[in-house]
Amino acid sequence: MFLALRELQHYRFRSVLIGGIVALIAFMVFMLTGLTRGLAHDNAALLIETPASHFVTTRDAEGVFTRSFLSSGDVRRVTAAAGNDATPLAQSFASFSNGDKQLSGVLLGIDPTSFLAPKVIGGQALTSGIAGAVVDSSLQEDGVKLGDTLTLKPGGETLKVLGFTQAARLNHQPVMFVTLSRWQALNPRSRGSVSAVALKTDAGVASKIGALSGLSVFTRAQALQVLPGYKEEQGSLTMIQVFLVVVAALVMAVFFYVLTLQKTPQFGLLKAIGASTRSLAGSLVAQMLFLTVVAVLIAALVTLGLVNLLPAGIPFTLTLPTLLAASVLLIVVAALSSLLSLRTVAKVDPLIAIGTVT
Amino acid sequence: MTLTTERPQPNFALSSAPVLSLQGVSKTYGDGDGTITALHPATLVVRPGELVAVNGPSGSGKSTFLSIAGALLRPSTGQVTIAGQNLASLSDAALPAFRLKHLGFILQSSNLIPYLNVREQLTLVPHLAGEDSRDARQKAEDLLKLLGLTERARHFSDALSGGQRQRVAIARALMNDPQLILADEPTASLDSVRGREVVELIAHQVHEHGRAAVMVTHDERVLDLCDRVVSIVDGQLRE
Repeated sequence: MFLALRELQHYRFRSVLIGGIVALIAFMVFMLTGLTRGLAHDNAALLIETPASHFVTTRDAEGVFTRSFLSSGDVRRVTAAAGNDATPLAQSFASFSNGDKQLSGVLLGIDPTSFLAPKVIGGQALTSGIAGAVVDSSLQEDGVKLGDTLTLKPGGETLKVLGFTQAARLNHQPVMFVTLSRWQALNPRSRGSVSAVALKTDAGVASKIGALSGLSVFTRAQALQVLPGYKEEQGSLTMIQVFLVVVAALVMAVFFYVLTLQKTPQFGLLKAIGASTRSLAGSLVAQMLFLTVVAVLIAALVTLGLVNLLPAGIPFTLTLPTLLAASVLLIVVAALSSLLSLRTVAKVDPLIAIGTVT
Repeated sequence: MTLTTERPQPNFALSSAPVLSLQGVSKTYGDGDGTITALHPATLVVRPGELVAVNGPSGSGKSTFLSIAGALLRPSTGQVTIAGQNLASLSDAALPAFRLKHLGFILQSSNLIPYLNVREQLTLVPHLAGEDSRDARQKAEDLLKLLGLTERARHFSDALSGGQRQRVAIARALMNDPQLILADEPTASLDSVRGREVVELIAHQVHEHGRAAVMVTHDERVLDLCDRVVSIVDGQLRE
């Protein structure tokens, strides 16, 4: 450890260079992770944060709410099997105006006494018999305030904003929660059908329901994956992230490999005077870990600082656990990439210290 | 800085067991028609208090000889015994620890670690052995004083002259109190005065402290400081 740090200290420029590159790559990984998560939340925060464990749709809808139409008979069959752990929901798209601003969102009809009821952060909660809506807080950025009246198009029906809630996004749009009866009044074309039934239960009950004819059950995660566009967005971004981590591994592996090659006379000398390969390897790993941990730390701090400067419109979500997980991944990858250099160290023959120069 | 060699020297050689014993030691590479003999079977015994010079032209097998004597290379035939230990009974993995305990190396080049200062070059040795740092520091100070390097204690090797670097190497080789010192052309790249000083230092350590030393050199100017001179020509050792 002592040897490792003294060496980094002596070759300050080189150490800062390598550390800088690792920090840069770590920063890119963190930012990309935040953007990926942010996009996921912008698309489907409702499905990510929901307390529901499963969703029931018609078999041919394959988990997509907007393609599924369950009759009241279907809903009764589900509640017969799951009791209070099941609650229906109905989804439609809506265009509306607030004053002269044209906006769009997702109208979600739910039972306000169920576990799907949104938690309000401002204003009042949704209750049975009420005609207003609890909307996602992202509408505040579009100038929507408590008490505003939203006018639906083209029919002109109105919705009063009763309260705001968080993490209610679906299909990249803000969700507006209304009661099921209000939803059905606003969507006469649905003829009393609902989109899905949410379940909060275990796998056993879920599979029982899945066996019912004409219905299929999806876990929350599965429903997320079939949400239109979700898989594709996340897939591309995740692929970029993976490539970035691979590049980081290769860059670090090459750097350390070349540096180790340059130091073979030193290793030869150390081995000749009696240093064990293990202590030399330990010193190398210590160096690499020290550089990586410091670099990742700096990158994390810069990321957290930069997040405050991001323009408001960009979706970005980076929680501390996620940041920690990404940091640990990078450090582990760095440790693995040093294996190549360790092999070099092990192969150095102390005989090279006995040199015939003259 | 010169040391006189006129004081009566304790004569260790007469009744002590040899520190280094090479019996019929040879080294060949390849097999069949492609066999190269780097060293023909050689026998050499070095006792405490003896400084043995190994003379000979380049490519003669001196380095091979020194490597075998320094437990860095296994011989193809023959037996190597250092400080009473037959090296054949030590595994390859055990050799570094053995060298750390019993041997001191003064090499031709790349003797010093570039990112450690002079004092740290010395304390490196006990550090590798996992020994107490306070004793180590004291020992380092003593050796620095003995070799006139106290003022350079915090310098790095790029700030030292060739002679100073070799003196640091000698100090480092002495840190573990070795029974056998192996020197590989220690006077290469030094002028006659500095070169002689270096060999005088080694000779002094050998004679005053009963160490044994094998010094590979083709510098004829310092052979008079040695107790014995053997030559290796074309892989053949001659006394």
